[in-house]
Amino acid sequence: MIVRPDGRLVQDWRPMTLAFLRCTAEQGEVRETGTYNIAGRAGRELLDDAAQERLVSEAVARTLFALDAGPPPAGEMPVVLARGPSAILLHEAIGHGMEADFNRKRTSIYCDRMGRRIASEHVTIVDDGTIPHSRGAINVDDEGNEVERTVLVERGILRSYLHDEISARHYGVRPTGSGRRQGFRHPPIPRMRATIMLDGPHDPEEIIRSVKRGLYCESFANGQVHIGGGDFSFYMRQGWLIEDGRLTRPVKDANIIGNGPKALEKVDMVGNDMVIDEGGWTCGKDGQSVPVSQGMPTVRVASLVVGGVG
Amino acid sequence: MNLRDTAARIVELARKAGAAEATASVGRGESSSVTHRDGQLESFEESRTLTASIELLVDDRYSTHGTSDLRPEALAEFVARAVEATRFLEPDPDRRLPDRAMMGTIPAGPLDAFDPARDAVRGDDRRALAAELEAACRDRAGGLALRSVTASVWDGASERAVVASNGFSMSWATTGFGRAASVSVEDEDGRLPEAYNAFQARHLGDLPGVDFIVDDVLARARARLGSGPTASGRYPMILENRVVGRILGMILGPISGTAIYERRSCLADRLGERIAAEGLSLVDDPTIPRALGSRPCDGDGLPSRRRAILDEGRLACFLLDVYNARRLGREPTSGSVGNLVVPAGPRDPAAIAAELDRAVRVEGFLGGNANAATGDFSFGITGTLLERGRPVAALGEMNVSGNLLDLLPRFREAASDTWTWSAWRAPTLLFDDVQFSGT
Repeated sequence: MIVRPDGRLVQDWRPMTLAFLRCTAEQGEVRETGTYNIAGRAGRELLDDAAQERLVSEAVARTLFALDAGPPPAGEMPVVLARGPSAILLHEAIGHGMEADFNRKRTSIYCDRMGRRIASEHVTIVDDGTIPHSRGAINVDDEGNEVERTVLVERGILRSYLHDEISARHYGVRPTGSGRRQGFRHPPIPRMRATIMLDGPHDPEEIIRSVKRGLYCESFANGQVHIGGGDFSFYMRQGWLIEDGRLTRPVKDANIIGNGPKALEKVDMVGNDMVIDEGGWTCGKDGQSVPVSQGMPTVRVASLVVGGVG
Repeated sequence: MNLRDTAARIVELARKAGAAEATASVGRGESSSVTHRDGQLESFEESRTLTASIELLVDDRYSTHGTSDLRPEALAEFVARAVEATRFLEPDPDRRLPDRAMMGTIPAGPLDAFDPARDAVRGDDRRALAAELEAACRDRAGGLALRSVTASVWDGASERAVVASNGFSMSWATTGFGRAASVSVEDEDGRLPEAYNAFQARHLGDLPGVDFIVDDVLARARARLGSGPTASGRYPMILENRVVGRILGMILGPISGTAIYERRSCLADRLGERIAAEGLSLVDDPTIPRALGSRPCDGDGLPSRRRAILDEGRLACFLLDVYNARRLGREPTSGSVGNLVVPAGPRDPAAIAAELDRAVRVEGFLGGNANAATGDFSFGITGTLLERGRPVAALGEMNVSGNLLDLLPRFREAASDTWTWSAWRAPTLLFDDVQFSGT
């Protein structure tokens, strides 16, 4: 329950269900683990038979996949991001930089770029708190403001920051329903909800075929960003080496690093297969954790630095 | 409120409600912080907390619960519901309190973790110090184009009492003080790299002064200008003292009791074996006076003692709490760590760097992760490329990758500059021939 200074009283009910499975496998001397999780703003009905089946089959498949996978090559290369969880790229490369508190303080790399082109016209990014049952969905934000679908980047042009009440007042705009807090011990600050890249024009198969030698990333563990310098990274748990347009060798456990604005400029192919990941993502900022979700179609980034060997 | 009495009352309530065993912990804390940014007070926070948690064993079923509502009538209901909820779980006969004879504490007095000087600290003092830190960053910035400067000052005190149904009890009080500075600077290409530092101590007098903090953060900011990747390849790695925990901390996951029990560990079969270069030791020491990780006992009530984790390169122990030790049929060794100490060497980092034609000094990390089952790791880094100790390029957008079991034998030398403002107390370390990826 939220009581606002203007006397308005707002009540919300926020269910959350999360199921997590971790497997460990041994094959000779080799030992590996794999995980999968399913989360959403729903009750136990989220974990119906199909979801339970997916939880088990995905966790097992990921564990066995890792047994056969090795490190990718090191260095700069084209990176194709599979649809769904790859949106961790958006979360780190641009999402945090669009939280208005960093821009109010003029410490975000995006603070002087509003209205300017920062990516190709294929790129439209929204942060949407209204998707039913999505882990990042909220009926109202934690300051009692209405939640919306905020367009951050429209066909490559920077459009709006994510505002809480303080930053909205500073900029003279309406709050975007992004004021969130971990709990009563923490102040509300601008946060993401569900960060999504909308569909583009390319066929996902065509995107993979277009790469002579590069990396295809399927699943991820975590990411981080330096807001001002713009460098961001995310950790790939599993993926494939692409050679001559085909997935050839399973790879795992590589950190991938880039610079936010440079990486967005290099997003040169955007698939038409967007899906919101069902995983239980949690975002940390200023010592506060909040549940978020993310989604993306298959995307090609012309070049990122892959933490591999060689 | 007497914390120990409250904890004892919770245990008694649990026993009455049907718990076979119970351990209650009651904590009280207060903290104050002031942040000053760009000439103005940015935030001021004061908080007080009161919390209770309980571990229960009911019909061989184990659970933990927490509350912040310590009114007597609320506590009774909390405990009754906790006991009731525990009955829904599956039995786990390995969950038991330790034998009473194993439990105990070392004397808290010599740990010297409480500084009465905190009573004299006033809100105005914190605010004045934060303002002074911030202003000093501007005064000493030289040619740096500052975009924003933030300085924070905080302190707190906490006390905790633990009572177990087998008669064990303890109480423990600490203070903590901290100062931090963060600057955001304008780079030539429009980027706004940031640098920050943070210092923590149990005693106010153990913190560094304003000049030290300011010079340190400005030097770090200067080192971030014009950063970018250099060529992929294998370089000597000079790991700065304050970030050693990110690399050596990778040892702790695979030797934790849960990882050993689940065999989700690249070290499960290596106890007693040589896994690192002979010169590398890592000691868990929760008994160092005034150190941030010191304490009279661990979370199971086992008395604190110093132990080697790596002893001259040999893996000397697993971190086995009472539960996992019982599941594994071994003796518990304590499942948690206090202060992690890497013994210092004789030379300062500059002397070590001066002997290397080219080396990467790792000064910070950006994301990345490690796989406890295999030892594979890959982290984003920030740092500096050094030639014969001279900085030649600021590094960013790079990763360091490899396998823990391949990296540890590559340790060559520990410097003399032990960092004392965190529970990791390590000097700068040199590793040979480490894989970095860049262009």
